[in-house]
Amino acid sequence: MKYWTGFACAFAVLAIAGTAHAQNYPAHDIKMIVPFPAGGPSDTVARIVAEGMSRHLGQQVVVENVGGAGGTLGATRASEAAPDGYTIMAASMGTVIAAPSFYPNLKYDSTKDFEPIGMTANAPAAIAIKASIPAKNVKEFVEWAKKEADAGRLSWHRPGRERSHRRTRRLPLRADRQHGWSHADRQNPRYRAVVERTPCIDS
Amino acid sequence: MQTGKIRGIVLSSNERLASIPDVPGAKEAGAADYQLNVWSAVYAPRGTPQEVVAKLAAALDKTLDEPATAEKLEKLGGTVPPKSERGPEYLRKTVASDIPRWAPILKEAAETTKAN
Repeated sequence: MKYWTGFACAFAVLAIAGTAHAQNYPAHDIKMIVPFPAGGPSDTVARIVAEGMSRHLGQQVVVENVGGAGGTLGATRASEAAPDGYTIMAASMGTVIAAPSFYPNLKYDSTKDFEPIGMTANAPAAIAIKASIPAKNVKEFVEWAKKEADAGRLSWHRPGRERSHRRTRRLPLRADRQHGWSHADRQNPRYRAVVERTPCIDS
Repeated sequence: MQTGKIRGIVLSSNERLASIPDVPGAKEAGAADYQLNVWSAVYAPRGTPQEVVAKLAAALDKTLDEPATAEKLEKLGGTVPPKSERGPEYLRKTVASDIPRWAPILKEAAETTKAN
């Protein structure tokens, strides 16, 4: 009996401590892990949100960029952080939705290892081409690309394979199969993030 | 795009974007079902107390309500999620439904790339 009373008391104390923690929260800075390098789209959105949340929480939300392995490194670290509200993560859907399809040995389960806080932004992807390419729409671009590929003048780049940006390639990939420019893969450096890839569009 | 070095030829959303009005939406480009929004979100580690989650979600919600936030996101080509498509429950449901939705498409894309 004594044992159970003691146990119940200890449990009550723990519960009160938990409530006190939540009431005083946040008592100091909050780390916001962004699983991509500074300057990319994930980082830019996260910093906009972090600035606003800092004002409304009365404590600084400090962005920490933990890039690598297509965002899974930072997400793994966030999933393993102490669940005390002082480590959170801001990530695009690539890290949470796409990574499970590409990494069979992923160390986190997107549906189980995170407490969802909320959406931050929506953005459509765009297909953009070098301005000097003589195409006004996708159809013309595919026709042009086919011609260039046949002549051996086309190469393509992509960001890390698990990034959501990659999905947009599905449209040209379909064109690949129909029009056969998929062999134009002579140089295909894997860049750590779109921010590092961007200059290539112009090169 | 704004410097004129590259030209957008299609968006993955059905409609045009206010920030880049010259780029056609997927619908008018002939791909009516090609609705693809890339979304971003905030998460905490599993086990974070619900009271803490609620405080973080409220701070995020207030941030998204601010016109300055919408303005900054629009400059980047994004939009603020509508009020009913923001909080923890909506995000939980979206994560649960988007993983099986995208898995076959992503796997196909991975195979195609390997074949290259």
